[in-house]
Parts: sequence; structure tokens; C-alpha cells
Amino acid sequence: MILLLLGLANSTELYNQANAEYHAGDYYRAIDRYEEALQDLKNAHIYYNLGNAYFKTGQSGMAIRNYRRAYFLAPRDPDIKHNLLYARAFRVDKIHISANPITNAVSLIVHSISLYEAQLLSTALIIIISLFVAGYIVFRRRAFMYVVAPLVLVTLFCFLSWGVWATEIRNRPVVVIALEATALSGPGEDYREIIKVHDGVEANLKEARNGYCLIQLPGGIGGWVKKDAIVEIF
Amino acid sequence: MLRKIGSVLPALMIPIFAASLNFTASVNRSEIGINEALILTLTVQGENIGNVPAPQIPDLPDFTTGGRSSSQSTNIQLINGKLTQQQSISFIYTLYPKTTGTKTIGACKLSFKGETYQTQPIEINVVKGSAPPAPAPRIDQTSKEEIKDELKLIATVDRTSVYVGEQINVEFSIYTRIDASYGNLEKPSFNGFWVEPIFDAQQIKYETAAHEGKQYSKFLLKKTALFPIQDGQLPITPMKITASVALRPTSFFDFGRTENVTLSSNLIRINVRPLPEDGQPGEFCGGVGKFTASAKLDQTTSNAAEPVNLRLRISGAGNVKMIQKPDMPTIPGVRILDPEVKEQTQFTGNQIQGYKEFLFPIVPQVDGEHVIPAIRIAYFDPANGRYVMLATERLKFVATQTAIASPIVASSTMKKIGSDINHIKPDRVRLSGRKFTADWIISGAYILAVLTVAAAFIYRRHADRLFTDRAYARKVRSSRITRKRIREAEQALKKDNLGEFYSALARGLEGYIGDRFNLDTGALTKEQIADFLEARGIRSDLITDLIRIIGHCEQSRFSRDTQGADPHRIMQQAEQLIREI
Repeated sequence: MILLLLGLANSTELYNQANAEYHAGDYYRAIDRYEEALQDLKNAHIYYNLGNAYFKTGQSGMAIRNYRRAYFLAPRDPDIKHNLLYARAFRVDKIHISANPITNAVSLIVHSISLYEAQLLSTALIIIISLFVAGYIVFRRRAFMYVVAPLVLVTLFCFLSWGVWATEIRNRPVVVIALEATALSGPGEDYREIIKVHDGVEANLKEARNGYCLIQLPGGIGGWVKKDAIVEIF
Repeated sequence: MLRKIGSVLPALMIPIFAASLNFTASVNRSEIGINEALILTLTVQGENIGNVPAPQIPDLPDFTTGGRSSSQSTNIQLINGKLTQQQSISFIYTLYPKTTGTKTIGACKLSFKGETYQTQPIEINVVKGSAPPAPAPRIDQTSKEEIKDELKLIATVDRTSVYVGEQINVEFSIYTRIDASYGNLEKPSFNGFWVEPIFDAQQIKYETAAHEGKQYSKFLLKKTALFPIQDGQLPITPMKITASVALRPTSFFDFGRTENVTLSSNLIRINVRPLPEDGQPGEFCGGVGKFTASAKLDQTTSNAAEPVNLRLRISGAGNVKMIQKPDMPTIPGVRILDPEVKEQTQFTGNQIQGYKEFLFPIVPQVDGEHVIPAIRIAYFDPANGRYVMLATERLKFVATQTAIASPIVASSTMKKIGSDINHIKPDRVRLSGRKFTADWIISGAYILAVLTVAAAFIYRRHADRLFTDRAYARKVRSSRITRKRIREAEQALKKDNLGEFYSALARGLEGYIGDRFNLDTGALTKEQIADFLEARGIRSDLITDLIRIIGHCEQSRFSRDTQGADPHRIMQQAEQLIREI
């Protein structure tokens, strides 16, 4: 417990020092400090500021990685959302996915609570619902069930959000951090080139073999890139 | 005899490629003397022929080729609304015949934009001596000074003393007695004047006019209305134009020359008087001339603070464009916005007439009838040398529901000029950690939830049986009642009240059996109880013990014979029995 508290204090200090470096324009040192602060403590603000520092040094991929982590922890923060979109718009490869407005709206609502919040909220709700169900069984009062119905709906929403977030993690999202990487048709140099991807492109990791990773871009196209050209987001 | 073959007549010039280009050849004379020169002119006409190459002339064994020159002219025509630009380039060759007789100038060729054009051959009759010369108009060599006498540029004004803002018309005309062409017009400066052009000559149109006792051909070059905007002696600087006068050749070998003369108009000074300070009303809006004013509202009702337009029109003759926006009276309950200004002028005779219109949007701010009082505007009448006051009619309109309108916001002129990432989050005193996913401990909550519901079910079932199942209810309650009686027995034993002790113990045991098996033990004999218990499969030694203890209790209760048995031991045996049955 004391160690944890020390860790918190230490991380906060590192975070504030890194902010000072950032303001002084020394983004590389700021990056080191933020990374160090993250050793003990996962916090959306640190990830966000780290993303900014990476963006300032021109590393879109790393910036997007950290913005996504920050978004994962604090999905309702407007700054994080803005900068994630900004960094995405800034990258070389423009990937246009035809956006269906209904899907967009659903995605926005489902992502309005973080995975952690969805898990805690649904758990608490399950206990509350069980108490009300028990109350109904014992006291035979219909009023208990009237309370339960909306709670069940909220719980289902939490489960949906939980599932969506968990799927995102399970898909093993990666981001390209090399300035340019060539995706090949197989794990080796001799395979045919499929597509060239640039810093900041987000993809899902399908398989890793022989120092190569099979990535799949949004839209389905994909190929094998060198392992060090990409980094996993989570 | 003149042979007309290969004539200079344009009718015989056959265009080779009529659509885009004409290439023709002509000579100045079809019959020349052996000592004379022949001018061969090759003319190219068409659109966009600026970079046409020089044509090839055929071998001319009968002629010596002299000099070559070229000239160019452009003719812009508007035919049926279509603008065509005809260029014409002439290549002029001087040829000297070698021998007499009928000579032929062969076809000349021109290659342009991948097409080849040819002229018709021309036959020339060369005779001995001189051919009869063409009649040439005689004109004397003229000096520059003499030309200036014959050719004048004169500026005239209709008045030289005016008020500020009063119209003056100035005319620039050329008076000429000789033929000339004009170019390089240098405009005069009208510093200190507001300028309204009336007329600018597009083409020369002569009329006859007298100047200093001589008859001249006159044409008007420029006519402008001027409105002085400051007082004092204002000069109208001279206008300049270059006249080219073609001098006729003095001899046959003189091809004639052109004398260029710069003509300059006279300087004119205008005496501009200031408007009188005395009696200048505050409502004076800068108008000098003769004006009328009118005001109109485009609607008489306004709902939801919709603006009503006040149309204030000042019309008349004078410096219409110099009229300033009149001061609007302050009207309580309305807001008068800046007006939209329209003006229109035209020349009627030599006078500028027109109107200037101010369209004031008026936004009511409170409900009710609003009155726009007469708007007073003053102008200066130079004819009478005094100020004249105009007043418009009083106007009314009714405003309703002004409150529901949102306040008018001026349209923003903000413009986004760039974008960047949002700035970093600020320093913190304490950061709290977050987990990407919750611990597995939370699954314990689900077990807890299931247990809660299960417990509720079990309790509910139990409660229901207490109501409906008498045997179950007695059974549930038996242990409690029995324990109570045993406790009574124990207390009696402590007080050494043995009668009470045995009585309580017996009741406890019998009650326990009755509740446990739902029997009415009070109505049964010991043997009947034993049979019942045996039928229920209770161990026979327990039944024997039970019967013995009950028997002992009854015996001791009624006989008061306390010998032969330790009450404490009996107590223990009874408790053991209850546990085991």
C-alpha cells in the first residue's frame, strides 16, 4: 500500500516535470518522463500528454497509440477525441471507410463509457438487481420488478459496451510506427509487395511469425510487415 | 491600252482560302515605263496572323528587286454580336523592269500553319519612257507652325465661377482645316473636382464651327461634368493629343511623309466660391442644385421585431452622388441600422439628374405604434444663392411581439486560420491510477447475486410451509418450545424443587415428541407413544429410555419419592434423548 502510494506520488511528480519539459519545447525528454510515469500508473492524462509530445516530434503512430490508450481510459474527454482525430487526419495514408450514420451513432453511445466503467457499473447493477429480485420473491411486491426492468436495460447496455471494448482489445490493434513499411504477401523478404503503409496507420494483428506480423487494415486488405515497423496499442 | 489581266481591282483578287486567310497580290500600275518602279503588294488578311512569315516571291528574271517593307493594320468588327478581329499585313516590294514588253509576275507562295497559299499571276506591260502618271493631288509642303494654325485643340467651359458642388461642363474639341489622324491622347487632370464623364468620342464626327473669324471643321473629343469639391482657384490642366498630318509628296520620288504635331488645349481656371457659412442649417447634407425629398415605409406592421425599411429618396438635378447620409432623428423604442445606399444618375441635356436613396432598416424594440417624424434635409440652391430646407412626411408603423425575437447579432467575420492538436493537460497534485480492465474479483459479485436470489427462494418456501403445513410448523417450532421447558426444568432443579423439575421435564419430552411427529401426546398412553415411535423407525433403545424417563418423572412427581435416581443424571439423559431423536 505504501509502495503504491509512493508510486502515485512519484508518477505525479514525473508527470509534472514532463509537462515542464513539454512547455520548454524539449519534447524528447518529456516523452521519457511520461513513459517513466506510466511505469507505476496508468492514467489518461499521462497518455494524452505523451501522445501530444510524440505528435510534436512528428511520430504520428506513437501519438495515435497513446491517444487511443487515453481514449480507452477516458472516452468522454473531448481533448483526447479531438487530438486522436487530428492525428489521424494528419497521417500520410488517408483511409476512407464509408461511415454509416446509424453505426456511427451506436458506436458513439457504446463508447460513452469506458470498459472499466462498464464492468464496475454492470457488476454493481447486478447486485442491486439481485437484491430487488430477492425482495420481490420475499415480499411479493410488484413494485420491486418495476425498478428492476430499467436496471436490466442499463445493465444490458453496460454488457454491450463491455463486449465492444473487449473485442477491440481481442483484435490486437496495432499502429504503424515506421515512416514507411511494405506489407508483403508472406513472412519474408521475397514475397510480393501488397501495399505500402505509413506512420500512423492503424490495423489489427492477426499473426506473428519469423519476425513478421500479419496485419489487417480497415477494409480487409493486409499483409506481412516487419515486426519492428508496428507496435501494439494495448 | 491597259490590260486588265492580273488587275489591281479587288474584284479579281481571288481568295485562296477564304475561311481563315486571304492572300492576294496587287501592283500599283499595270503599265509602267522602263525607268519606273513597280510596287508589288502582297496582302495577307485574316484572324490571328500576327506571326505570319514573309511570302516567297517567284523568280523574276525580268525585274530587279528593290527594297522591301511591310505594313500592318488591325480592324475590329462587331457583326451580329460576334467580335471578329481582322488583321491585314502587307508586304511591299519595289521592282524595276529590265526590258520592255509584257512581263508576268508569277504566283507568290505563302506557307502558314501547314497550309500553302498562292496568288494569281499578274501581267505587266512595260513600255519605253514613262507611263502616264496617276493624277496626284497637289499640296504644298507645310511647316509645323503652319499646321498649328490650321489645327487646334480648344477647351471650353460653360461657366468659370461656381459654388462648391455646382456643376460645370467642360468640352474639349479639335478645330481643324486639314486632314489628320490623331493618337496619344493625354487626359487633363481634374484635381479638386468630382468627375462625371458625359461624352467621349469614339469616332470622328465633324461639324462646322467658327473660331477667331475662321471657318473650321470641329469635332467634340470629350465632354465632362465637373463638381468642385473644394473652393479656390482650381485649374483644369490642358489635354494633349498628337495629330499626324500627311504631307503630300513634292516630287514623284518623294513618297510623302507624316508630320506629328502635339496639340495642347488651353489652361482653364475655375473660380470656386465656398458655400455660405451664414445660415447653413445643421441638416445640410452636401447637395448643391435643386432637389426634392420623399420618405416611404415598405410596410406598416412589424411582427417579431422584423425590420421595417424606411426608403428616403433625394432626387433632383445637381451633385446627386455627393449627397451624404442625412442624420436620422433618435426615435425611442426603435433601432435604426445603417442604410443601404442606391443612386442613379443620367444626363438630361447638359444637366446631371438622378436620385440617391437611403434604405434604413428600422428594428422595433418595443410593441406598439411607432412614429417616424419628418426627416429634414437641407440643400444649397446656387441659382438663388441660399439654402433650402426639405421635410418628409411623418410615417407610422405598428410593432407586435417584439419580445420573442432574439437580439440581433451582427454577422461574424471570424475566420479560422489554422488548426493544431489540443494542448496538454495541466499539472496535477495527485494522479489517480486507472485499470484497463477490472479484476476478476468482480465475478464474485455474480456468485453473491445468485446466492441472494437463492436465499430469497429458500426463505420464501420456508415461510410458505409454516402457513400451509401444520406438521412442518410444529416441527420448526418444537425445538424452541422444548428448549424452553428444559430450561424451566433446570431452574427448578437448581431451586431443588424436584416436583416442579419432573413435571417440566416430562412436559418438555412429551411436547417435543408431539411437535416432532405431529402427535397429540397428552391423549396417548406411554405404550401408544412407543408403538408410534417404533412405526417411525426410531431406535428401540431410545424408545425404552424415553419411556423409562417419562415413567420415572411421573412416578417421582406423584409419589414424591426421590430415592433411587439422581435428578441431574435424568436431566442429562433427557437432553441426550432430545438430541438423538
